[in-house]
Amino acid sequence: MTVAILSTGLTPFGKRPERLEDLLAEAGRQAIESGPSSSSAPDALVVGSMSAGSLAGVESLAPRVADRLGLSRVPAWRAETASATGAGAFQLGAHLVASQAFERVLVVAGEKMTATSTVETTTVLSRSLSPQEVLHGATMPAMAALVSQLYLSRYGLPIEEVAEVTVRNRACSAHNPRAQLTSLVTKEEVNRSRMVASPLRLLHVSAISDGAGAVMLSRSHDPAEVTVRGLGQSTEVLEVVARPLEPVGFRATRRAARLAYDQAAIGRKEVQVAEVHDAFAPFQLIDLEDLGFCGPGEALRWTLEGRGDPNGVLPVNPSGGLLGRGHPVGVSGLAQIIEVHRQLLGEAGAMQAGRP
Amino acid sequence: MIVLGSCLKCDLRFVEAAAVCPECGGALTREERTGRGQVIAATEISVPPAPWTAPHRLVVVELEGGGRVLAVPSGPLPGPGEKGAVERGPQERLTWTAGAGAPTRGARASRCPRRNGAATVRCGDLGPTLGASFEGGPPPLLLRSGPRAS
Ligand SMILES: [Zn+2]
Repeated sequence: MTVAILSTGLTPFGKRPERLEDLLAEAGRQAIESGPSSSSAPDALVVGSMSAGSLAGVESLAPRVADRLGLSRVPAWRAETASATGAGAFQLGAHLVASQAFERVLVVAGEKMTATSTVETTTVLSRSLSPQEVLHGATMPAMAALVSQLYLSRYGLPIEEVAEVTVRNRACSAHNPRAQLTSLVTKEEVNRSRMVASPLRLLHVSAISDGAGAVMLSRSHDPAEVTVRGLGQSTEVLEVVARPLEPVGFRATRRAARLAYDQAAIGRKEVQVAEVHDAFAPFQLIDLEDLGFCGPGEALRWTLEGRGDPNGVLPVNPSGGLLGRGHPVGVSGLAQIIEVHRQLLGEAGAMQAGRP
Repeated sequence: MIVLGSCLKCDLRFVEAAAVCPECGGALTREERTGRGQVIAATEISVPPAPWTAPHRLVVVELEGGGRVLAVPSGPLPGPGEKGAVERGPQERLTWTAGAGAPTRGARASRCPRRNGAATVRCGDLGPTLGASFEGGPPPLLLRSGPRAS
């Protein structure tokens, strides 16, 4: 059974006035209406959101979205895997199709993060950390700062140079009509921006954002369709400081990548474009190493050499990544898949990678 | 004294209360540390969650004898490599103090049965209380002789 991506939908990211369920419906409607004329309505719905109850004051999200899309008769579920929620919802949808339980599944994911204050939003997100870390007042940026520091000190890398990740991703998001941040920034601006959690500064951190995305999945009937070759997912010990430090990185990413490569029966060298989780600028470097594109400690040099630029050997985050697009936590994983889908179709417009 | 959970199967050491190893589901034992150690990472947060106020600081401490903990420094933000000690404070929170002299003599050595060859602890013996919340609360560990759990 081969699973195809029939169509996608993606709202602009940023501070949006709509309710979460309306953003989700907007993306879902785009995916339904932009599908092939032969396709009919989905026969199942998966809705992803990380913290809809706390951030948007809404629960029972799946039937609410189904209502707005006129899909109240189809089975509908909500998926949540923290800031991988969008990708988790996609994976569930793909398995629903691959299992032949359903012919066509609509996956919708989104987050509404700007209805609450920055302190409230930060506090809500920190609840996904381990209780031990929450007890000590940890936040996502704080734990990211500690991991980043361990990574940088392990390989003797200067934080000032990591600014280049933001500079390059923002150069890409300047071409992304759905991105929250479309202005260029300089290395100096990144390194002068205010400290959020030392050594991470504001411009090292992806923005709090609202947005939604959607993908229509179906059994593949046409060889020209973009199909899902491999999927991988893994969790990791919640207590961040307990995780092994050699190499510094995320074992969940390494395990998930291995699963996906194995299922697709390809190696990392066959990957032609990548969207990676740059929620914090140093995480893009760690991701590149965990995904096998660079050796341990090599990703910064690799990046500075332009190898991940849109015309480089492996374009990385040509959409601008989370640092440029914004990071509505529940949808970022799905937005990455949607951006890659457009790259594979050659429909990424000014963001199209691989052009001289 | 700091109590760590330690997995007999995969060597993971952690603070969080657990009945089984969060990594592999293996059986656990407890290990005790004096609290002395060295800062390996530190951060100052501009927007901490309630009830903390800015600037809020956190450190990762590599403990003597092995294992890492998250702690709140009592003073200014330490740099990597600073030596000191972690102590348990109110609500089981861990506080880092630079140069603090937690006892080096009299501290109990690791009670890991695998490492001292004494006994084996099974998952169910530990209940949900192994880790930071262990100290001063639950009764002593029930150690059972027998083959090592795997
Ligand atoms: Zn284990």
